[in-house]
Amino acid sequence: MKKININTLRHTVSVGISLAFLIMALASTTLFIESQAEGPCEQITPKTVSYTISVSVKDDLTGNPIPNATVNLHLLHKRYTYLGSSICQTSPPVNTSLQAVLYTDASGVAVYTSPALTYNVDIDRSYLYRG
Amino acid sequence: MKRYAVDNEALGGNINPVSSPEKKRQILALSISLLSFLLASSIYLFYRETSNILYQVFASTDVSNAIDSLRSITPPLPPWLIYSLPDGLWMLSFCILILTIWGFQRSREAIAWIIITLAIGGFLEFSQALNILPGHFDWSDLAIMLIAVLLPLCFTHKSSYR
Repeated sequence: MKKININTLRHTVSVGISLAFLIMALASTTLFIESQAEGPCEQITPKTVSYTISVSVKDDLTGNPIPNATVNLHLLHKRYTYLGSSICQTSPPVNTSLQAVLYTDASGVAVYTSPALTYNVDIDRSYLYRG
Repeated sequence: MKRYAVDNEALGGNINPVSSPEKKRQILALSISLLSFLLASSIYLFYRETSNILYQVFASTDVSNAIDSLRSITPPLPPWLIYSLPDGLWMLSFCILILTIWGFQRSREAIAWIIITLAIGGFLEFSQALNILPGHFDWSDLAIMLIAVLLPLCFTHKSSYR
């Protein structure tokens, strides 16, 4: 009868669980935030501010601009305060500005976009400014 | 069915059949592990943005409407509960599984695996700080992960073999 060392079995199962955990964590991290751009980090007193964000969407394969793609923009203060989301319809010309109103200070504002799995969403930080 | 003998000699001859209280403890540990995992997944499903992979998976099924309905009536939760607790719950689930495999014994091997679990969690978090992975580094995530690792260790006992 073939003998199996129980410790070898335990190590093997532990490796399997660790790999599963790592893959799950990596998958949820990378797919959760498809693309992001950090906003300016200067401190301002809490008040209504506005940002103008230019978003361009290009086809991954051809590199051609996609004129009528819908991009959801999620604005978050750091990672906790959900500031709201807006829908940006990129229509000709491709670079379309989006006005979003934030009700907090601008420190660490991040912009998340979705979907971006099939599109390249380019957000130029230089377009992110206090209005 | 082919049966394999446990190498009892390699373990110092201290392997005894799993006793009933031990079995109950294993079942309890696995239940807590499963519950932690399900709770973390539920937070992702009902509270996080809809672009997360778990929501996307369910969105393609028949239950997507039910999930959307539940999302609209879920009570608001503090941000740390939405963004940091799932990391801790996943880590807790992972640690309990590892400790269950190693019989909840404080052996060198079990401690080594617990350090590996913590290293994986730390790597993922610090990768965000270094912009290797997308996301936001947060000390509270690390703190919750550390608690999640240390908590099950309190229920371990000294290894009976070397």
